[in-house]
Amino acid sequence: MPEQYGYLRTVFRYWLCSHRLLTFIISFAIAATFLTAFPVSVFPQNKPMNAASIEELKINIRDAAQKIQTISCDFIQEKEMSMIKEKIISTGKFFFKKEKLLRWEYMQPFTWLIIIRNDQISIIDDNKVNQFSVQSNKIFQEINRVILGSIRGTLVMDEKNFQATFSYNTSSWVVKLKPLAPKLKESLSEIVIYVDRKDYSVNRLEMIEPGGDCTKINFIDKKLNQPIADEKFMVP
Amino acid sequence: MSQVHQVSPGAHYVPPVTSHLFKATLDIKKHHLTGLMLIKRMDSVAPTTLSQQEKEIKDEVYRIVFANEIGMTFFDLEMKYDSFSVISCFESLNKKALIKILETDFRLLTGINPVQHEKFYRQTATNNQVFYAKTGRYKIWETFSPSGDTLYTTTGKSTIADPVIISYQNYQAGFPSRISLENPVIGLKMSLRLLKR
Repeated sequence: MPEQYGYLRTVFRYWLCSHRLLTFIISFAIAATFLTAFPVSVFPQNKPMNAASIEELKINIRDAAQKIQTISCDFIQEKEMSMIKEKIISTGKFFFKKEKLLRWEYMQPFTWLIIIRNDQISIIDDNKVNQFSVQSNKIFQEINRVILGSIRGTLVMDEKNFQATFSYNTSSWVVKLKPLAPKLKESLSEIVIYVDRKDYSVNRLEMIEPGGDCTKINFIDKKLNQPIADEKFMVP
Repeated sequence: MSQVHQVSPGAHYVPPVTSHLFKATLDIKKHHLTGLMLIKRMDSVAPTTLSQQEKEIKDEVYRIVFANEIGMTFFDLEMKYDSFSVISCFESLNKKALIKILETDFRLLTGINPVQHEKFYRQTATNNQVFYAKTGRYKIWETFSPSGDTLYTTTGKSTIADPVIISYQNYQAGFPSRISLENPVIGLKMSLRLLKR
């Protein structure tokens, strides 16, 4: 490469560095002003709860879970891979009917359907149906426990398997669960459940892996206690 | 054997700093795993004393993440020219022999390793172009279309016991939307269906 190009490249890199530095300083100044002006309303801070409030919250979650007969909603799932700064976003529909009926349907960017009917799991993938019992598959045992347990409110009360800490912000009660069982600890370092402050249903679930990767599932457009036909939980 | 057109070994899969998201299945013996596989090339800066060709090879860094549909990671691997690291792996999959097989498969898939003793020839029966070379202890054969612009298969082996066959199908915009990797002797099969790049 001719020498003048090497020189130009050095100048360009220097310009790029100084330009980035300037951009960073301006962004930082704007962010600092913004945070000072709107400390809580824009970025909700989780506040700790005292023992009495925690007990009251547990009772409310349990009572609400008992009243919830069905849930139907859309979901947006984000798998964040911290080291490679990449997100995989999938969306679909979610149906739950008491006691143990679950239909979890991924629609974008792939189609995949899981139906849990009591302790029987059916997976429909590329028109192939795979059926097995929850007990026969360790991965789905954990999924079943975490997802259904979150919705039914049992995970929050499970002091034998999880160490729970409670806090709240303007929109949610936030329950952080650290697994105690060695097997679950290997795949999940923390589960965070965001419970709606109005109806105590689950708004969001975060599953954080030991390496820092995280899966966030946002449940949106929730409909509680609307009739859902049993056929919804049948293998098509 | 007859005169062949110029083909680009390995060029089918190595655009720098890009990621490919696949719907993936991994079958090994009685286990059937499904989910999403992200293969991302994330190059590092190599020392400037290297020649351009060496730099290109030694720069290549891949992260390969396979997670089930719900997001739980089966494995997260980092592959460089001279190393292969397990960032995280489900306990039941984290076996030395299996990781070694996955390393070989992904090295052949990405063409990360330098090749030597290259030869080009044309198959008489099919008129397909074949690129033959040695990479590490492996011999590889890449079979291209007669015009040399479409890669059909990559076959690699170091002994009779460890062949790897990679098939590329359903090309869309110059990239195979279906890739299958097979290690027939040990019964491992991986199928990748491109979702996003």
